[in-house]
Amino acid sequence: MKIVAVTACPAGIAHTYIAAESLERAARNRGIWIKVETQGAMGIENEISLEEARSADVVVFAADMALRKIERFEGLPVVETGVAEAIRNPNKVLDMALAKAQEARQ
Amino acid sequence: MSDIRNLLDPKCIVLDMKATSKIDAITELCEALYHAGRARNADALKDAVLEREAQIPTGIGMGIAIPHGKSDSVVHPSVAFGRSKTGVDFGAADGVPADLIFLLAVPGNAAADHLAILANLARSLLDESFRLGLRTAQSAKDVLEVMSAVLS
Repeated sequence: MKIVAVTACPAGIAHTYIAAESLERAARNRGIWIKVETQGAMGIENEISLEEARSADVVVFAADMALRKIERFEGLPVVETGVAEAIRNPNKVLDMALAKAQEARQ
Repeated sequence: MSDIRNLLDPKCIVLDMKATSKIDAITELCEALYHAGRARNADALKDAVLEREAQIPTGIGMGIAIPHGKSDSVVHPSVAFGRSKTGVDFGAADGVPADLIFLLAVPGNAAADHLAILANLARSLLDESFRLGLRTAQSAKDVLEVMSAVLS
């Protein structure tokens, strides 16, 4: 199971990165592979490549604004949520992602 | 050398905030930044921070708030840190008032390495030991040491 994710917040100074950290820690605790790209004040960091997107099972958009370069994720099941939810309830977000990925397999 | 000490001036560490409301807390920390020469205009910075706060409340839970703003009145990327004995309501989903408040202020064209430090500070907030260190700090010097230890 591979999850790719993008976090983004207006101002992009803080929440963007906390959301990424929150998802990363939750996934690590559960042994789930995740790569989280941040789109914040520093631009795009930890950018997800086309290959990584293609080999993923689901993408999570934890964003409070329009995301850049989302064509990479075309064809992937999507979970859309807000930055606050990723910060507060990362496990719930991961569960939604796992469920979406399962759904897509059937 | 870019480290947290470039961003966090001891004059901007308020171990016992007077403010009890969100707006007063933001005002108090913006004024600290102004008096430390980190912002040319406390009101302009305050407006930027309040505007951001209105979009999405910055109470992230766990007793932490991270109000922040981008403004050309900011001279240098900065952090102001305030601790509140009573706690200040920042609209956190868990309902817990913030006792640790970090106000992040950046100019319109902040340099990448400074932004990186702020991003690391933001990520570190998820560390319980970091939060505990800040809650038990006895002085501005202690706060700086806790921050430096985690952020270097």
